[in-house]
Amino acid sequence: MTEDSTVDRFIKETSILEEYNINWTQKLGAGISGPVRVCVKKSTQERFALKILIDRPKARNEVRLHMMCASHPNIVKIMEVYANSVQFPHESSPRARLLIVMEMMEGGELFHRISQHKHFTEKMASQVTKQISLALQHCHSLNIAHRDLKPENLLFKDNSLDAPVKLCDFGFAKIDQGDLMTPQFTPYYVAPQVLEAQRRHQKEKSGIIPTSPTPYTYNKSCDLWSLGVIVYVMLCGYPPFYSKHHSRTIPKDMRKKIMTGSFDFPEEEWSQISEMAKDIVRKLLKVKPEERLTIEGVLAHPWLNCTEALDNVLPSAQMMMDKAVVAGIQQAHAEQLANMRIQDLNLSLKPLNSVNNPILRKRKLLGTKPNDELFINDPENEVEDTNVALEKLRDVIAQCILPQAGDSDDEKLNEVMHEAWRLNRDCKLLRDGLHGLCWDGRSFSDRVDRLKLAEIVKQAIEEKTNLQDSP
Amino acid sequence: MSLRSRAGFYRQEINRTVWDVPERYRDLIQIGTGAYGTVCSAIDRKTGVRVAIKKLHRPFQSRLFAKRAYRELRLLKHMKHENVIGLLDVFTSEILLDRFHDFYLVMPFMGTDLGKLMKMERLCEDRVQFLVYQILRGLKYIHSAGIIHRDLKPGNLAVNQNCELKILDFGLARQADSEMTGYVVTRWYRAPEVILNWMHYSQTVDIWSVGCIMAEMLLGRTLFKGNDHLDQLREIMKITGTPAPDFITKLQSQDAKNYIRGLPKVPKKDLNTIFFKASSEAVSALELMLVLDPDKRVSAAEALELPLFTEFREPEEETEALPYDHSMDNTELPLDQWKRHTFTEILSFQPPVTEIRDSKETSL
Repeated sequence: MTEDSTVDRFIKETSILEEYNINWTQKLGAGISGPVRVCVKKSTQERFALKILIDRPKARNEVRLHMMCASHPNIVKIMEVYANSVQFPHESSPRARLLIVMEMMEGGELFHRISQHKHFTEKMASQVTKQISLALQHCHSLNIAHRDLKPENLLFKDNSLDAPVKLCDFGFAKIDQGDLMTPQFTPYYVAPQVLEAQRRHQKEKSGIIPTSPTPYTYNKSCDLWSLGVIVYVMLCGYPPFYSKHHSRTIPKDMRKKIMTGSFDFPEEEWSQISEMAKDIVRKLLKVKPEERLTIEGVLAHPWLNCTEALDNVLPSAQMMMDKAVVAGIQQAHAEQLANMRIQDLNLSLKPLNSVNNPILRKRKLLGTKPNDELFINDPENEVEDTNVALEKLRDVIAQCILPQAGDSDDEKLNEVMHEAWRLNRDCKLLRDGLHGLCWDGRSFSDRVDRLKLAEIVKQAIEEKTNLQDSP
Repeated sequence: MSLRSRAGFYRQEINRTVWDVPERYRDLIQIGTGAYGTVCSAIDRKTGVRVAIKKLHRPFQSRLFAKRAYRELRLLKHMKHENVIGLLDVFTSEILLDRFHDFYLVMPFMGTDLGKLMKMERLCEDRVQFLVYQILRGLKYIHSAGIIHRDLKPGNLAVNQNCELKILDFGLARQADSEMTGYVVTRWYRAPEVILNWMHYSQTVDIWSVGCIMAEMLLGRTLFKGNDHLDQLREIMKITGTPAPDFITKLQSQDAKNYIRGLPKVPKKDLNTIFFKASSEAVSALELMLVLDPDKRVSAAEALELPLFTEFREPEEETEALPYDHSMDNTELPLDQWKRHTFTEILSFQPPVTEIRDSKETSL
């Protein structure tokens, strides 16, 4: 069973209303791709989160990548996906949409959760970090970069003390196999043990110790940077690259600080925080992606694996009670993420009849084909083209029926047939029939039975006429 | 080094990487990054066109890297065809060999690749025909130079808005086996004889890849999507059927022979049932490309003659290349020698002459 088949088979074509009641007015939040609402399963009365996307390749890609990852306990589960036509009140007609039913996350966002917790300790921060890291490890092991790791996308299952935190929203996620013009033999396909063997091999061969690039690609490494920012904020209540004295606005020099990687641990908040915590933050907030800790490095770090008490209460809960502070943190983080993502150029092809393509341009200059040849499939002239197409087919019949006057008749027939062929290639009946008569797209390579040809073309005309009349 | 080492160059830091580029290239924006290099788009002020500039990551850190950088440069210099990526420029800001550490490759900016394009939109058949025609046109050229690409996949086919297609990243170092492991895209386009190392392979490994890519453009999904080596082969044989006895006889590996003979017999599937929306010419082309026996697979030059491409082709323009000198490929030289050779190749680079092209246009 192939991956794409799995996704498409998983998407139901039946109406979601057969199994769920949807609360159209209650919005739980807004992911990057659209709002999230509540829906209730009729058979069990369970509540779920419903995300509605316009059905397009990008949305299907989001569903596919989320489903690939969703088996992990720290990633929000997808229960079902429907492909339905949905018309919102402000729309004039229904649109094809994907409706994604996900598990309900009732414990709120990460920072909100922290602000509710009067005694949020370093141990708790470490436990949350571990869960986020496990989710990331799962994604990265599938060669998927999330690329939108931020506090709003980290939700708690419920309000209980030991509720798990889960990663959601795969709207920016992508399969990370390197970008355009990445050279061959890119080591990020390689398992760490193979990398190590290669490094040993290179060392032996060249006699020097190579500093090979990290097996992580840029996109995955951005997730690690995000993790570093989140950990920093969890521990002290404000973001790195940030001046405490401008806490209510994003400082203008923040971008410069980020670019140079200059941050520190102000005494007032950080004096009670462990050296291990500072160490993991330093290793995550490296400017150069190749110097940054990998997700395996994070999970192996002492801060996530120590048995010490770490029961010091963090200042972050107090800080995050100020909503303006939290909003500022979130905005700064989101802005930096947007800057770090390498934008995919969403380029689409122009119609063939309007491309400035040197190969096609030469065809015109040479005059080997008529200029209007390139207007096949021009939708604006579809009706007119259809009539012309039928006319050309009738010309073929006329040519077949006319008495054969001489040698040039074969040439004439080829010419007329070619004209008709250009405008009627979409007709399967005609294509198959001509194939049987040795038509190679330009001429008949063998002597053609004109009566048989006329019959085939007649059937094609009838079929086209019927198609035209039916709608 | 804070001072400029050379007149006519300027220094810029882009995403924490230092770029030393000639004044003619402006408005650098990072558009890609990988383990071996970073790519920026830029405006060439001399021509007014957008270009892609690739900076290799520490090309001379080891002998292996240096040899690879040298080979990439030489191959790019050799390629002069509309449907194959070639060099517009190559530069280094250093004048002296002993200070030479970095160099930059300038290529046409294409905007996107076929893999990204297929995620964005579904391609209609006339576009598929035209794109495949260009792939084959480029392949005929590459193969005539005695070069095999070995790793054709949608991500290695650059496309721009005008439906211009160029083949990228070809003929480089042989892939390590480790790249074949796990769930990776690149294996889905590999010919079966490459996946399982059945035999010394020929240029038709690339034709298999073209068939897979064309099938994907028509279907909207990957045709053979295996989870590992054997699963990949199973996926292939679900469609091609198990091979005939005369093909098994050709296999050089006894293990491969035994394995194939042990497989349950599977009949070949009619491609018309899979590609029922496609034209019969398109299905015929796929039948000739997705053949298990590489000796029976159509060549690029032969494929161009198929009815599917009649509307687009002009045989006189389906050109061939000068032979490529492979003699250095198997040479083992010290790091300094590779570096010297690379430096020499950079100094001897001659940019493509635009005037000649203009003359040709006029004479047409």
